[in-house]
Amino acid sequence: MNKIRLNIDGYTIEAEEGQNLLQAALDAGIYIPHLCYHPDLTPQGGCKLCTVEVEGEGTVQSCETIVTEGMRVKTKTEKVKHRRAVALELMLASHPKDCTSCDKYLNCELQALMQYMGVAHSRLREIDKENTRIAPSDQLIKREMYRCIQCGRCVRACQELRGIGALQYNKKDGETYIGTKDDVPLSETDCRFCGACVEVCPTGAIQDVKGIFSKDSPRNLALVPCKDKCPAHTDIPMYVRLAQQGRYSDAVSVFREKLTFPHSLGFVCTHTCESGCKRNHVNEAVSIRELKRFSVEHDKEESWKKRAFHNPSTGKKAAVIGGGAAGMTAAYYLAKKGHSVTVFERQPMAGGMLSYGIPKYRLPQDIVNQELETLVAAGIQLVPDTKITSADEVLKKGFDAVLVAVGAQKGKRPPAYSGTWKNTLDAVDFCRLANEEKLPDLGDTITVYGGGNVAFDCARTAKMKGVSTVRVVCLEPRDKMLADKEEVTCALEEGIEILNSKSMLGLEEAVLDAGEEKTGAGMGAITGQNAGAGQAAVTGLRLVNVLSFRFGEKGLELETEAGSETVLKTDTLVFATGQQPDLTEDFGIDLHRGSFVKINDALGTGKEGIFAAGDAVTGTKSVVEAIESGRRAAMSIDRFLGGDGNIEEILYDREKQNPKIGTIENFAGLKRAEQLCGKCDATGEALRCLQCDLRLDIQKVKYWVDAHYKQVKEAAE
Amino acid sequence: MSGMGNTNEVGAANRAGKMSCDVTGSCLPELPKTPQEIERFCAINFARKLMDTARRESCGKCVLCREGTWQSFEIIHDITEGKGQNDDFELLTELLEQIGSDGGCEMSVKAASLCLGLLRNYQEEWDLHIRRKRCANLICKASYTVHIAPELCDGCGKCIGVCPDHAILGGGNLIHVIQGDRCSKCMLCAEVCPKGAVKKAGAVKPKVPAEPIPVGSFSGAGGSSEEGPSMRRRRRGE
Ligand code: SF4
Ligand code: SF4
Ligand code: SF4
Ligand code: SF4
Ligand code: FES
Repeated sequence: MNKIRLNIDGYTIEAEEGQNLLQAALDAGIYIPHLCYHPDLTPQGGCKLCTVEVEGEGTVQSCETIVTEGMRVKTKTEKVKHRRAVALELMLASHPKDCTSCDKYLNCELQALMQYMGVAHSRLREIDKENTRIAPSDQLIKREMYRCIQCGRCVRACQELRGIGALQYNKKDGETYIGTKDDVPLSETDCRFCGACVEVCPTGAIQDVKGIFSKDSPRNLALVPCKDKCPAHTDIPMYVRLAQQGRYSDAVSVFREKLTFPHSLGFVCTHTCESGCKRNHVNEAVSIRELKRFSVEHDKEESWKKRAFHNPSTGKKAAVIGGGAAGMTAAYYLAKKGHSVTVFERQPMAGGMLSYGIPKYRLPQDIVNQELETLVAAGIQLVPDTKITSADEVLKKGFDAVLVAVGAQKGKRPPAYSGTWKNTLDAVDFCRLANEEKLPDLGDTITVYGGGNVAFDCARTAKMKGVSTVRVVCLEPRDKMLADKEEVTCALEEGIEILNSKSMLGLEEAVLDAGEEKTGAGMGAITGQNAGAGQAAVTGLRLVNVLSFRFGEKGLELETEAGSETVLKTDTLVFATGQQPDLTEDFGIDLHRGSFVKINDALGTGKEGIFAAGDAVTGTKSVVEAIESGRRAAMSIDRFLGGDGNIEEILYDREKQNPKIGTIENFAGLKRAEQLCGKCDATGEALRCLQCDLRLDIQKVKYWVDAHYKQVKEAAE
Repeated sequence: MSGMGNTNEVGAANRAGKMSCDVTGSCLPELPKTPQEIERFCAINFARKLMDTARRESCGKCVLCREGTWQSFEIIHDITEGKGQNDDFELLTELLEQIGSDGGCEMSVKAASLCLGLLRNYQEEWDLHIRRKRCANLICKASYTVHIAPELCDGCGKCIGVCPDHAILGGGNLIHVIQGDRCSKCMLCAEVCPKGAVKKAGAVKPKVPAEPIPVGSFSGAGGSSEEGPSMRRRRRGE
């Protein structure tokens, strides 16, 4: 691009040939007010605020004037200041006077310009426009068109950037206003809810509906809520887009950058991304999890493998205790960073909850095994069937660092029920036994006490095993249950009873002779409890209705309904009331809240070289949170071992996105596909994405107070 | 009419073009040409119509065209209503000059220069309107009241039928009377009156009966419209 020299206000500056005068001045650090101009849009020359004087030409709009060699420009003469002031006064004549009631207050280009030019509502007649009140807001876009100054940025953004044209200049009764064709809500137009109009609007006329974006996240995350809500911040819009184009291998590369068990996650992820998805507000979230699974299953090339980094050996040794999602993830990245990694797993198979917690009907073991193999192939030494009882012991074996990622493998019951009965089980054991095909006889009735996802895993497994009466009893009312909605729905469909708002007052028990014993044979033995003939068995639960509950200082505080006590008979009782790590003080690290590991910000345990991650620290969380925790542990440990702690990798090179997304018939109405049965389904589902990330590519307009305008960047002599 | 308008048409053509707008000046009202038209002409009223047309035709993209013509219209409208303010003439001149020089399109520039011509060539008229709230030709509504000349009315009742405001009282063989507080001065009654009895009155109000009385019985005494609303307004205005 050829450079051109011109003189503005006495400064000689350099501009690009063909550039407009306004942008050239702004680039050089010379502020000229502007409102209808936006760097990504074709200049429209409508607001007249960028008026300047060009020698030999008089006053011109700088946004519409192309720079020429030797041009002499004045931007601050009394004449142009006056012209600009009048233009602004004219705009304000029909603009609301009170800014404080506007959600754009203090973040408004118009307000900033009023400040810069010292113009307020003035000597002009106030003008009341009728049609600016026609503006149905949508679930995502709030329109207060009486704040619109008709700069037309939104119209151009929708047309030029997106190729859509949902917004236009309308005319009714001799009044022009910005609106949709026939004044219908945006959801009835071709609008794709990309947010470009919101992004460019300099006033409070078009805004995001409040509450869609998190206030705590940085802007580039907050604006893409799926990515924001994903614990690993996976680049979701990018892989959804690639999946839409049928580029499954590239899609896999994108989430491989952040995730170690993508295929398993495709089955069981709690998909917090979907709860955040902006499309929820249009109709339903994009089926992000399904698209992930579909992409993995249709990735023929596995192109990510060629790109994945693997550093040369550092000669350092790291041990990971526990081969679950957190432990294996940490081990994988540590191995890639060149450390020699050994994983000690107490069970015969690694995978932790993926192998021993999540029922097989939800996640087939083959898939877990395959993913484990992929990780092990990065150079992990996996030692199964080995229970470690002391961290120090491991350090003594010559490891430079140890990660405790033992998970939360022990059931946690309300204190009153810590006794042993021959027919009670903890959910974590129940699930493990089920996956090992070692469940004892459960009888005809089983009661699961607890209302989380694990409770439903137990209940649904029992139902599948043929137990005729399966009940879930929990404290929460139906609409406040901790389990995912889908789980609850499926359970009900399968004939599982759910008793909500109940608390247990106590158990009914009986000592049965060996001959009478119906169930629970050997249950104690399996769970490590001392059981045998003549030991007490639970026969029923005494329940009471709960009116309200809260977790106060003294723990659970209940308000119960007097006289509502009932007894529920059962053959087997499963406690799904929480899990904790199977750790004691003997392990050699600080514990708190029972048996959870206490850590600092760097995931250190306070003991040199010993780190902790995953459920052992946090209590049962989702698989993706365990993965994220494992990644952070790897960074910390790598730094401890002398590395840079950087495990980020680009497995797919981002191309510049085409912002012109164009129109799609009935876009707002497109329904969510819960299951993707073929390529066609996947493409259709991915097409529903609003591509929230595109908005980040739109340039931000700098206010006049910006540091950029503090000093003029003059051309070198 | 010489010297009115078309002073700046060349400038208009030069300026137009950059804006992406296809509104042309041809939609604007024409200045009067025939002597009859000129006789019934009020520059201020015409200016109002001119700027009203301009603001309605504006494509809306340029602030001077969209808001400038609208603001000018509001000011002129106030003036025609007798609500002009002392510095309105200067304010209008300033606005119109800016529209004329920076307005992006042929239409707004043409409207502004026509209007500026009216300001320059009819300064006294503007002054009369703004300061004395009067319109010499009784064109601007605020400047006149409408009445039925009692000596001309033959009681035919045609006017009652057309009055959209039901402002006319009368009946068979009665002199019809317009109730000033209801009349919107649309002058439809004047168009149908075969006798040409419907008249405008400016500052000086002729005597008319307060209520319909038999045709031929009007003496000119009593029952004047002294207490009519227009008189009250005039007093306050002065
Ligand atoms: S849009 Fe801007 S200037 Fe207008 S009321 Fe809102 S904050 Fe104030
Ligand atoms: S498509 Fe995008 S720019 Fe156009 S109206 Fe919808 S959200 Fe705004
Ligand atoms: S809605 Fe915003 S961007 Fe669109 S014309 Fe109005 S002020 Fe400009
Ligand atoms: S619409 Fe697409 S980019 Fe936006 S939150 Fe949902 S999945 Fe993410
Ligand atoms: S920024 Fe140039 S006219 Fe609006």
